[in-house]
Amino acid sequence: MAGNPEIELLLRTTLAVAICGHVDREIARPVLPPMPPPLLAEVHAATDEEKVRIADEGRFLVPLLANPAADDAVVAAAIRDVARAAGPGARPFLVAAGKELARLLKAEPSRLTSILRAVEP
Amino acid sequence: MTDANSRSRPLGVVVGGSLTKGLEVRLDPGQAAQLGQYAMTEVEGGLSLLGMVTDITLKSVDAGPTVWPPGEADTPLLREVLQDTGVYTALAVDPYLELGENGEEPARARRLPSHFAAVLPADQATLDRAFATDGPSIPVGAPLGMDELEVGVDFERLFERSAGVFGKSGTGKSVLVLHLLDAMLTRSAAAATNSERTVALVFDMHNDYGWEMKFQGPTTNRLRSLKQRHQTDVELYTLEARAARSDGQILIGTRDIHPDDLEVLRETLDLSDLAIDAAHACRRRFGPGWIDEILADEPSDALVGKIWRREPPEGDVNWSQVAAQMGYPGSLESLRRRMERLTRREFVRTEGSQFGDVIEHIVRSLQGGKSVVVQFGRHGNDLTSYMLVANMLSRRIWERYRDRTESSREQAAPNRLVIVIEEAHKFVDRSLAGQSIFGQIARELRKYNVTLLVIDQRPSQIDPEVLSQIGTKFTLQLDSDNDVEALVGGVSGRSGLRQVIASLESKRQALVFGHALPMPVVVQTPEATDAESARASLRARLGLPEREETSPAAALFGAPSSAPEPPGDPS
Repeated sequence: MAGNPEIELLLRTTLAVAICGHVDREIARPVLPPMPPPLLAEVHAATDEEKVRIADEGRFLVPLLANPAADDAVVAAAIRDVARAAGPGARPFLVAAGKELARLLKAEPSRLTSILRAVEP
Repeated sequence: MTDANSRSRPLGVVVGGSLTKGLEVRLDPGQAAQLGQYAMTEVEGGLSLLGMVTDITLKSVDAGPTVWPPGEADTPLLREVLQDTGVYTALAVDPYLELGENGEEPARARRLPSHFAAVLPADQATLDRAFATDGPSIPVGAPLGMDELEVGVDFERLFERSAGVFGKSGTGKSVLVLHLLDAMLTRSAAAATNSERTVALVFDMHNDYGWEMKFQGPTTNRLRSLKQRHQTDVELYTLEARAARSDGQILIGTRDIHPDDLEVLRETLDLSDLAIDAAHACRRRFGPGWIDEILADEPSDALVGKIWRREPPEGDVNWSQVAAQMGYPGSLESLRRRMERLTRREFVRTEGSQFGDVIEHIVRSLQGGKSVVVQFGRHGNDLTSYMLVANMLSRRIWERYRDRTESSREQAAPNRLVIVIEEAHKFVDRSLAGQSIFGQIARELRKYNVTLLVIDQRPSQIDPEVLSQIGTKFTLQLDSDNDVEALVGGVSGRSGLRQVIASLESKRQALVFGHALPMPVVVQTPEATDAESARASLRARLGLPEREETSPAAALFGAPSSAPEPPGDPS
């Protein structure tokens, strides 16, 4: 890399981020923020504690599912990620998130089934 | 979490319903409910609504999860997630009572809670208030799932109308009846005057209520019965000549039998309408001795003289000639054969009248505040004997009571009499309820202070008109839908009660509803016991001091440990 400094400009990895909540004066709200983040703001990976807070027992799935970019694999991965972050609380979180998902996807039982299969540890 | 906290956790929330069809309640995750359990919820204005769980349904929000249910291979997570989201459990709760905050009298439910009102398992205090009785009450057991609470039926209300104990054989009817009668006698024994005593006339088909009761119990199989528990307040009569422990034998003279008494025997004796008519005609023409007359081998001269007033036929007259002359060819012959069979019984005496004395004795005992148990002994399996005796005795005793009530407008009316009959449907059958004295008693009930306690396995066979007069019903397990329907017909929320009856266990579980209770209740009926502790609690419920005061007679002579001397034939 040091010999080819142009590579960094040629090959880039971009991330698409679906917003599924924000923190407003210390209160985690699993809804879209009133304003998008400013341009050039730094993006950090959330800490485990932040993940669990924003996921709010699965309520973060509402904005997530509403986002057309987030397909079932993303949803499943997000749930799995929070569950891992929740540590000993993984199982209760999975059930709560699953129930939230069941309510949201009540018209699509097959989608619910496939997501939950992907989530199961 | 303490017990009290888990009690107050809601069962679920109200999601729909109506006063006529009951409330629909969605069960909360992790909660369980059982049929017949009590539930309560708040309605506006600080009232609590008390109801009973009458059905439990598994429901799904839409077809998805039930069309593609999670399979064996599926993750447990999916099953857990679908519980209470895609699929859930709904309870049907029939509302019965409204209870105010300030301890007013419970009233029939006329309001509904709002949507999403929390439904709680009924707590002790609420049930205590709902089943509180002003006067003495008879404990009938603990409601389902609430072992600490004992429900009592109001003593006065129970016996002021007819009552019934229904259930198929082996469900514990007899033990329950013994318990009720025991309570009645315990209460009556403490009454100050005879007219305040409620007494029973028990037609005891299988020798259960007299000296001791045999039954299939886990530990004991014999139970001290009424006579042993209330020595001085019970008299035992038997049909058998040499029965031990009897205060008298019941004898019926052929002159005592009136054609009306035969009406109820139509079915068991296979008597046709014409044969009954023939009996009436014989009685009219030959007088009270008609049975003896027609049982003679040959028609007597006097009889022939009554039939052919002017010119009797020449030579010997035989019965078929008599029958033809009376206008009952065939049926008189069949009547003779039936009467012959009837009078062969040991307690039927030809050529005489015995019954008046027996009746006199029994009526005197009853009005003197003593209960009378008529034991059928080996005649108990003979339905004809049972029906004949029960009907004849009841008719005549009831007439005495009626006369006394009607003639004594100023005087005190006679004390209350409860007639206990088994196999009641045979007496108040749809076809002969008009003739049977019991139909009449049930209909005119308390006018003359005589009511019935019927014990039966087939309530559907009982005349509906009679059944509808039964105030309080104790229903043990019943198999036939017709029987269940006959009992709950006309009761509000009957579809719910039907479910509850269907779910009763085969022993010692009863649904009690009707006049003496504010709302239906499923109870574990009292165990067959005569232990001291049980007696003490019974006495407390009846509003009596805990210990029995020794009656003067018992104090003088001591409690006899063996059978008292049978005083012999009352006549």
